Amino acid sequence: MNQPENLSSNPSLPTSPVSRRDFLDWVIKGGLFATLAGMLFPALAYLWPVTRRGPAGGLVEVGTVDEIHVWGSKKVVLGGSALIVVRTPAEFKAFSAICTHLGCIVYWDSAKQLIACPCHAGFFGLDGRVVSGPPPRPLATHPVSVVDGKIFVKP
Amino acid sequence: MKHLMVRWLRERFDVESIRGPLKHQIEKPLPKNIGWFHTLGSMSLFLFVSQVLTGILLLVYYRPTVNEAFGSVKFIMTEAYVGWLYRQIHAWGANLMVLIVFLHMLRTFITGSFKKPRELTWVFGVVLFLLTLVFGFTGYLLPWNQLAYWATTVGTEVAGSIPWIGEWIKTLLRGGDSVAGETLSRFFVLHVIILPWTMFAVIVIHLFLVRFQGIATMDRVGAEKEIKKGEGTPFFPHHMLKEGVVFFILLGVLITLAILAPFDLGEKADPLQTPHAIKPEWYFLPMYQVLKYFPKLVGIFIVSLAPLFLFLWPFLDKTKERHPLKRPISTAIGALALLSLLVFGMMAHLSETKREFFGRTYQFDIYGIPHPAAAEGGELPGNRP
Amino acid sequence: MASFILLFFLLAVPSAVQAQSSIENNSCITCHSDIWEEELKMSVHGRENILCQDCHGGDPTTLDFDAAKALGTGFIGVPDKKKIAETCGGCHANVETMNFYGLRTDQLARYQTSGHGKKLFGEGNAKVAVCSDCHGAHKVLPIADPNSPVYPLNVPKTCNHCHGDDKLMSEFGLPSGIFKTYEASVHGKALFEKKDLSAANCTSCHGSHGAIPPGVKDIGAACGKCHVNEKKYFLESVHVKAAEEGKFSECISCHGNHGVQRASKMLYREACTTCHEQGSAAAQEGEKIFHVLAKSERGLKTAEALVKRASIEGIFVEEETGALEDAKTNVISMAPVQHSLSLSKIAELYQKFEEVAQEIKSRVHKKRQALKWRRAALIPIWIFILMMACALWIKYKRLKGR
Repeated sequence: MNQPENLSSNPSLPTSPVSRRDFLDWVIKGGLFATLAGMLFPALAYLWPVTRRGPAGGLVEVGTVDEIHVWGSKKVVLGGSALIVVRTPAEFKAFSAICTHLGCIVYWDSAKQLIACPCHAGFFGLDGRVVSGPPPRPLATHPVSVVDGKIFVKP
Repeated sequence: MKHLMVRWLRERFDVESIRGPLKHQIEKPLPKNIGWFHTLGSMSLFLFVSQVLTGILLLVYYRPTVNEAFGSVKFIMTEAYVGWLYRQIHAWGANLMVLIVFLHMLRTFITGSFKKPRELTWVFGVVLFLLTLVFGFTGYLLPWNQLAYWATTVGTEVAGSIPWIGEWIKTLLRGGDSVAGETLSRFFVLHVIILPWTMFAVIVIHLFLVRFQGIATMDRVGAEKEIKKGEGTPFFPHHMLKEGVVFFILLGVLITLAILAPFDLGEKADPLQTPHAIKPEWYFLPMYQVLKYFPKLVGIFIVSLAPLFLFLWPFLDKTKERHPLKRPISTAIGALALLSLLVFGMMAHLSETKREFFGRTYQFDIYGIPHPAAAEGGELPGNRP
Repeated sequence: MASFILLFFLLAVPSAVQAQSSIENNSCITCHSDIWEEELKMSVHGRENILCQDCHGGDPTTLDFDAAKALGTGFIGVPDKKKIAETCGGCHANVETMNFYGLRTDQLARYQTSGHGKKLFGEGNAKVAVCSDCHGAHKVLPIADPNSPVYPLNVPKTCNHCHGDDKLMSEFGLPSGIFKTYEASVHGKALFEKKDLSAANCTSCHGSHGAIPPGVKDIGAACGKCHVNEKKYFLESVHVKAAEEGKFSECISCHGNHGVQRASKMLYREACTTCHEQGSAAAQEGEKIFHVLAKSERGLKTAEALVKRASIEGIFVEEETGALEDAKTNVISMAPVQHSLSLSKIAELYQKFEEVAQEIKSRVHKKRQALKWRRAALIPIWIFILMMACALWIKYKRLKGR
């Protein structure tokens, strides 16, 4: 289980007390060094910025402006729930993509310029309100801001 | 290289005159009665350092606002590399620190080390223990999850029942009428700035007193013999090695707890939804339970007696003997206090829960008294042959 | 000259009274104050100053009992059913009058096409419903008023006044137990239990003023008003031709009408074989669809259970929860799509669902694996710690021994 005991009972290794003590000191010094390194390296790794996504809370980047053409859309998963980002000539809008009827994921119907639910033909306008169909409540809207060609949404 | 550096220093500082006292301090002989339990103090210090370091790491990503606190802790636990480990070690470290500081205090009590001339060391030690508890209380709120939010609401409510100034203290603690963003900011400032530096200062005083007066022996008060050179165990390297052994085991325990029994983050605080049976952290449970039995005012009075007695104990127990068996009254009071802490803590832990013992389900009421719960589909008591 | 002035007064006085809208001066109300206080006052008409004489005729300017109901005053007393329809229509079918109230004016025209209207106007049968039977006579309230008998929640009970009357219905050869059947249906439950005002009530399918049972050909239109996607996909199915030929009554052949229940995949086992023989190619196709649906329902439950369990284990499953919504969409979408009876379309949805479900599964597995690794890492950590502890201990022993 532990090195020093095993080594001391091993006849093939030098058995003079001086070298055994040296070896023990070496184990202790090495061990302490390893302990320090073992603490330091994870800490450095922890400090290394997470480039995938900024810390949660506040706005989260969901893509670039070029990704979505005018009257186009993009679906993103944020905070355990799906969102749909729609681009109008004037601005970007983000809505919860979960239909308020039975929870299907809605899509952007660019021909009708409405957000549509594939399941029971619910339609939502660009303000999230129900235009037609069975959904009982409007879609929740999420604040969007565009900075340097990047789209940020508040989950 | 080493030689060059030493020379560089020597040319600028009077190294020789520092070396003597330093060597004296490092190799200072400790009395023979020093045992494994004497490492508890150093372990408390180790945990404090660990808390400071992991705390600094957590601060890198933590954001103390109502909207972001929960999310940032979640970020630390899910996104940042090994962030989960640092949060768990910080959380478990806090719990272990309360335990180990308490055990250190218990050791001091049992060996009678608090007696003359070390009364002040004890008093500062009690301050450190209380600071540890406040650390725990303020830190608990910071993840801004349901449990934290409501435990803090209840905790500050207790302060509100102090006569005359209670309401004022409650508002001061909360920074408003209810636990909210202002409370979070206050607790944050306390937890990461005021408490660490206060604790640091008190630790310095505590340690200075310990080194200055030396470790207590088991000799009667006033009959302590000076340890002669070569008689006791040198602090370095002898005792340090012993502490190293305990340090590594404690480190292992800390990591193991962090991995095998991680603290849940739970759900984000919701001021509109009170969870069932909110309880404070385990180290406040005995106090919490005592408060239930008495009307508010009396309860507060009784609970505030405990730290008062802790502070005053060296001045109350003025017998000359240090050995616990030679001062039976003092030991009995200590044992009784410990027992009541355990009993009240256990009752608080069981209260308002449903548990099964020997195949029967019991419902524990708010006072921790068990009532046999009506087992579903079980036989009626009258039907027994 | 005197007679001219008299004539002028006769013509001018009533309109002056109306304009001043003085209810105190209305002699009808003076005597029939109970009707005014309890019914007319709070009705839409009372509030708009449409008073007794507007429907019943008579002269409200005179307090003389006989003069008020004299021959020349147009007094009609209690109007018969035909007269009711005509009287209401007098205003409500007038585009100019109704314009500023924002009300439609086709009610009378529709009524004349309804089962009720045809009986009344065509056969002179007065045992049918007219305006007042549903809307009330004196106390007519707006549809949006929950106390109105035609408020969506109250419609089934209002219809049931007559349609639940066994004796009356037997005269027309109609069933009288429909209210009970409807009450237990998915629509009835939605309306009465969930108070969902958008749930279909009698008028949603039969029409209100033009109430008539939809024929075989019109059922699809009636249901399709709300069930848009189901209708759309049905039009792609093999049954369309049979429906056009009048051999197959679109929705109700499988779902029933008044007692329609929440549809389940079991319909493939129950409904198909009412027309198709057991074991026939069509029935087998139905069985196949049944299996895909069953498989997806099971799959969705498994995926949901997996994510829930993982979350209880302390794993963060936000992304998986999001993906679960995606998976769920595919399964929910199967409900309307299956009306096309196209196995390939349903299988396509199942394929999409399966992909997402697999993705969720592998993600959870990966996260669980990471937790396992953490635990496994404890073994080398403890070996190292024990080694260090022993090394330090041995060193201590040696130093002490020296």
